[in-house]
Amino acid sequence: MSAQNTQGLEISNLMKRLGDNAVVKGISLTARRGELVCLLGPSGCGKTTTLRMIGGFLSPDSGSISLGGLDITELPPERRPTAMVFQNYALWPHMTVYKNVAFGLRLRRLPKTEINDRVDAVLKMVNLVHAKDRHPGALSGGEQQRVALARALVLEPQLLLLDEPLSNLDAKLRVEVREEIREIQQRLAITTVFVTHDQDEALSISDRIAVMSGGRIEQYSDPDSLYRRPESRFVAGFVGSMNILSGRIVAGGITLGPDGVFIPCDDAVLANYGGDGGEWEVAFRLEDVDVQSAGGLTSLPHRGSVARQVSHGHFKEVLVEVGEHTSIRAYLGPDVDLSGPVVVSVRRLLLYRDGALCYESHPASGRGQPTGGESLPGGAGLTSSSPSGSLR
Amino acid sequence: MRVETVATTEGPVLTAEGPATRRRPRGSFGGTRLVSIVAVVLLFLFIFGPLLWLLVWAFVGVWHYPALLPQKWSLSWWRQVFNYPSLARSVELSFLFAPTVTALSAVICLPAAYAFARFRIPGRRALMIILFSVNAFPKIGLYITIATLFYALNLMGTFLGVVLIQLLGTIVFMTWIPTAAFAAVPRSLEEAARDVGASRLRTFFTVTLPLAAPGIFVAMVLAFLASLDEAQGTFLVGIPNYVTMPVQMYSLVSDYPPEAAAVFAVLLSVPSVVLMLLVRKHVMGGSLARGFQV
Repeated sequence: MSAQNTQGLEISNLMKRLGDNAVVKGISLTARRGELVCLLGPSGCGKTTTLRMIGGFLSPDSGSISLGGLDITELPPERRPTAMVFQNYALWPHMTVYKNVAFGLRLRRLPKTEINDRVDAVLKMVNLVHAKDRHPGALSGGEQQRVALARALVLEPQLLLLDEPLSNLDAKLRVEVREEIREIQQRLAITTVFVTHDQDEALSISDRIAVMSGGRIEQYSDPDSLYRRPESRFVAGFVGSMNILSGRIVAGGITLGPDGVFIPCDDAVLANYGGDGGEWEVAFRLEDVDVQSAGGLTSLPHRGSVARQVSHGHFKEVLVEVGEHTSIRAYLGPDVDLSGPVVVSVRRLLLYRDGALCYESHPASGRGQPTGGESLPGGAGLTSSSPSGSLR
Repeated sequence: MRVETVATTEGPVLTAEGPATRRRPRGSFGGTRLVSIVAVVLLFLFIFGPLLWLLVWAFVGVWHYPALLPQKWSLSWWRQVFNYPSLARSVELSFLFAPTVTALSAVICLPAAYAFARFRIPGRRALMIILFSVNAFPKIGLYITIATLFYALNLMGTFLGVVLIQLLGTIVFMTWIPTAAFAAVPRSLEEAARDVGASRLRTFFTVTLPLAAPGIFVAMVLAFLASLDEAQGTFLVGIPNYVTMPVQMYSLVSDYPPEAAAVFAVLLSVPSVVLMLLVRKHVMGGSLARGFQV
């Protein structure tokens, strides 16, 4: 976190109390120039409060925010080089699209021709030239969203803030618009903070994601690491679908749940690592589960039966009851037909104790590695800011 | 004042409704549709009947009992009223007081309304309800108490005294309706303006005020009409120097036959009707209704 690579946003130890409620309890985060960072978390986790502090609409109780090396913590919103796209778009209903977009430029007392050119250019970028003289009330939700984006972009801000900008759009449009936003963001190389509670959205467009819970950052890393290697029990449960069960390590696998069902896992190191006999929270992705027809192997202890199948079109989600009180979910191919007893095994798993990640297995090499049980949730993610999975 | 005139002419109108009321039982087996039509007609008669009655009276030449309509129509009472020596002066005064009171009321109440809508004021609800208390008691008692105060302050019979007494009646809706109008402007719209670089003041004038304008407009029209129609307080404080149109009507009613009063009442209704037609859209739009949800 030295001076030269913090041309973007640098937030340190931000805290905010609203009433009796500590909403943000010490958030530190950096975004490099041109990076798109997502604040992801359930409602009430402090993500919007954080964004509003960055935009200047709330002043933090303590901590600092700097942009391009300049401390902006005390600046009012109108003097910050930030531009925000509000959740409800906040377009001015009494002004036309043109006037909405041009207002910020007119405040800067630019010559009229330059204002015209810049508004035209940005409306072209968001495909809204035809709606220039219409009022926001006459636009569809998607168009309003694009006006809000244009209004923010036309000012060429150093930092673009997006507050759940897609939450009011229908599912199909949401995917389209988020790709548009990502495309524009990358083209303009504009540093962006994006707040969302939708993990799909976060995983698909972010360079890095900060998962927040209870006013703190649980993990800050690139989407791949976040998905494959959730550093805390909370992130494991929040991001993506995950089987999380209490279990113990035994030779050749794990025993899960109150039934102590044995599930094999092909990880040689696992037995050595977790062999203390204690209980772990065992987490494994649905796509890391193998389900096969038991065939003649009826004597195996880990056989189960498929209790429910949900087709998602290109894949199938199945619920396998492996014991009386233990069931495992798995993603399978669309054509797999499982009737009768099945056997279940796990290719890759993660172990958590006291909410922190302690072990992850690497099935490719057949070897796992301890992650250092002392690593605090969130702490590791903040300092190791070198995304190994390169998306860009 | 106008309302009182309406009340005195209500009697004959109600007897005219007799046949309509008797038709009702027959409608009950004709279906609910007929019942609702009858209800609408009744309501229409209740509201417009007295006004119609007033209008007829204003053009009466000769009208003797059992005839339904005057035997002879005439404009003579209009001539009488227009020749009434102090009429012009009273019209002039009315249209001097109404804008003055409206403007002053706006200057006092709009900042309060903004504050009620946007800032956290301890006892906000209680304060707003206290404003209502002015309208909750018989005004004449209040006016007489105030009159003693005005005597002490030498405000009796002065322009300022009349303005102050008329102001009283406008405070409630001039605060309540604009409070609702300001509160209905989403904060995010103001934040968006700040975000693109507008100062607080600029934000207020570019975003907040234009969006709250319909509600403010309705409140101002109501204040204007309240001032235009105010008689009791103006009579008490203004006499004899400031005789506005509604006060003038008192003497007309006592000095002349009902035809003259009818002519004057019609004249007095014109500005109200015109203004209400002007703001109809906004009143229908709910600015008024919103104002009374404290």
